Amino acid sequence: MSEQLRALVLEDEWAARNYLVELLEGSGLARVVAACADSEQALDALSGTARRAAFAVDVAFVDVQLAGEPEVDAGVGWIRTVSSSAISTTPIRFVLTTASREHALEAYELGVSDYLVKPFTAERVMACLRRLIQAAPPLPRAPEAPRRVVARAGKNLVFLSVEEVSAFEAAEGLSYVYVGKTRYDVDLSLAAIASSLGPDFVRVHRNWLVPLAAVRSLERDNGDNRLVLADGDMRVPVARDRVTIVRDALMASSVGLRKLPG
Amino acid sequence: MEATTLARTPRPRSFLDTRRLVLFGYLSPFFLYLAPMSARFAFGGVTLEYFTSDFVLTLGSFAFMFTCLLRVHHWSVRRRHSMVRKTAIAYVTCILVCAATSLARYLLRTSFPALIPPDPHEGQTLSFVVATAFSDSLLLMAYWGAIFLFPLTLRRAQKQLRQVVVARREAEILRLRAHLEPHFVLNTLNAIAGLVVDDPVEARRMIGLLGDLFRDATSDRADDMHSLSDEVAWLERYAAIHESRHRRMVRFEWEVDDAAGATRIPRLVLQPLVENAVLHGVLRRRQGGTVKVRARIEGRVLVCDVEDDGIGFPPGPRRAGSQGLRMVERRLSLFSRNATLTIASEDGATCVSARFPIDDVRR
Repeated sequence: MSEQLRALVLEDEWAARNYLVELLEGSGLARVVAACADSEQALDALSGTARRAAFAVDVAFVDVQLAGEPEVDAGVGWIRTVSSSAISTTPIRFVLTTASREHALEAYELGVSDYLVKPFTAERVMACLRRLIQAAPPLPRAPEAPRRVVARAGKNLVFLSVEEVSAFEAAEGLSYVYVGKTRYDVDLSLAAIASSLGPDFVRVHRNWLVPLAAVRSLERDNGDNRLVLADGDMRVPVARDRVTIVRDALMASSVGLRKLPG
Repeated sequence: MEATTLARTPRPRSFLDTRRLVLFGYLSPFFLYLAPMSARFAFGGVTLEYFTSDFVLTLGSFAFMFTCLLRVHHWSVRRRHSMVRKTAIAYVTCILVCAATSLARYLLRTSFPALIPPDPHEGQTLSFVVATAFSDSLLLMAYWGAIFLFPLTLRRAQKQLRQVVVARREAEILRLRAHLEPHFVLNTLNAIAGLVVDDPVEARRMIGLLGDLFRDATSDRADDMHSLSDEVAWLERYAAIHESRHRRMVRFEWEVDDAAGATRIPRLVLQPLVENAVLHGVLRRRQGGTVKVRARIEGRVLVCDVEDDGIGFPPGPRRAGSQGLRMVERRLSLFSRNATLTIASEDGATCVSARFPIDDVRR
């Protein structure tokens, strides 16, 4: 398989951000290394901080309009900032995501590689990624460092290694990641996180995404199923219609218990 | 609070400019009088003495009458009298000033017969003076009408016609823009596509909301007016989509008095105000904010406020979105001469108020 593009997504709307992450991961041509809700976070991800190295990014998908910024077309301003400085450690290309092409000329002068018009579709994303790869195929590189999860604690970004995560939870439109008992905010939906982390994580409930490695036991209590996680003091509900899937996934990744015929 | 009323857009000067009409009104009797009288004088019909005194007297009294009429007219305009009322008041003025000047002439002639020789054609009794005052007032009124009122009416009709054409075009644009603003619809569709996996219930709700907004867009209503409660119902759906797309960034609060709900206003006249409050107000602030929509009756005026606690309204050149404001303003001015749009801005907060006098409602 050819090398995948490492993508950064800068999109202020929750639903649109999740959607684009799912589509990019689903294409098989790109991996999302960071999905950010505002330009400051995106700059942080590119430039690195005192506590971690920068993310290597091949292509940034940038929404023209970003909420929370004083300028209406703050996305274009962000591209200008990044392209006119040496913030990114890797050569970076830009794709504007927008509902209209009114910024086309300005973007052309900035050297934007492509457009992705809204509403997105899998075909459109696929075609865009193919064009990017054709223009400049990503170079084969040494195996990457383990993937990390970008979370927020208040205004600070926190970078967690995938191994230390015990669960993801969704509640009232917000997403959280648990490390032991500590909870951080995540700016992506469970579906987007699941598409990004692959089959090691299982959606056991509408509101819960759990790494199989963290599961200690599957409990039954009055007909309700629960998973006991990692250190044993965290319990996560399993949706009734997912019990079989969850059990099969657990079995497939375990040894010592054989499924009896019949 | 620094409050500003939006400046009217300058219009091209009409040929029938008021100042020109006034000048013409003062000058034309000069020629009208001079031509026949100089002929009479040249052929020896009148003496130089008589000619001079009559010339001064006639033009003087005319200037006095015309000035009085102008003064009264301006007063009438200030009081926003209707055309019929203006005409009636002008005619009463005509009678009064004619009576006054005739009386003055009569008194002058009887007091200083040496200075002002009597007109051989003019009767010298008081009852004759009164009678001529009435007949003169008709002539004066005809002159006033031809020189001043008629051109003014013509000008106003032209202006109104122009405004109606502009407003009709803008209403059309606004209807399309407000309901089907492509950026809004496409972004909303994109959000729905994203919600389908994570939150199918919310995705369905959004489709319902967008569908309702669309239904209004395709409804082929000739009527440009609807009730405030219809307006608010539409805006609430529009707001719900913004709230859903920008979770925790955009919040709406509604304070609509029950008494205000039945008032009829131009369709979606408040939409650009709400759009501006979201797009150029709260969404431009880091932590987002709240848009407050208030409607109440104050005396005989419906007051609608759209307030946001965003980044404020910068002084000087208008911020983006002012095109929408200008359009709202023009629609308001067509709705009623006394409808107003004011913007009050204090660092961070912007409040745009539209005031509709209820009694002026166009049916």
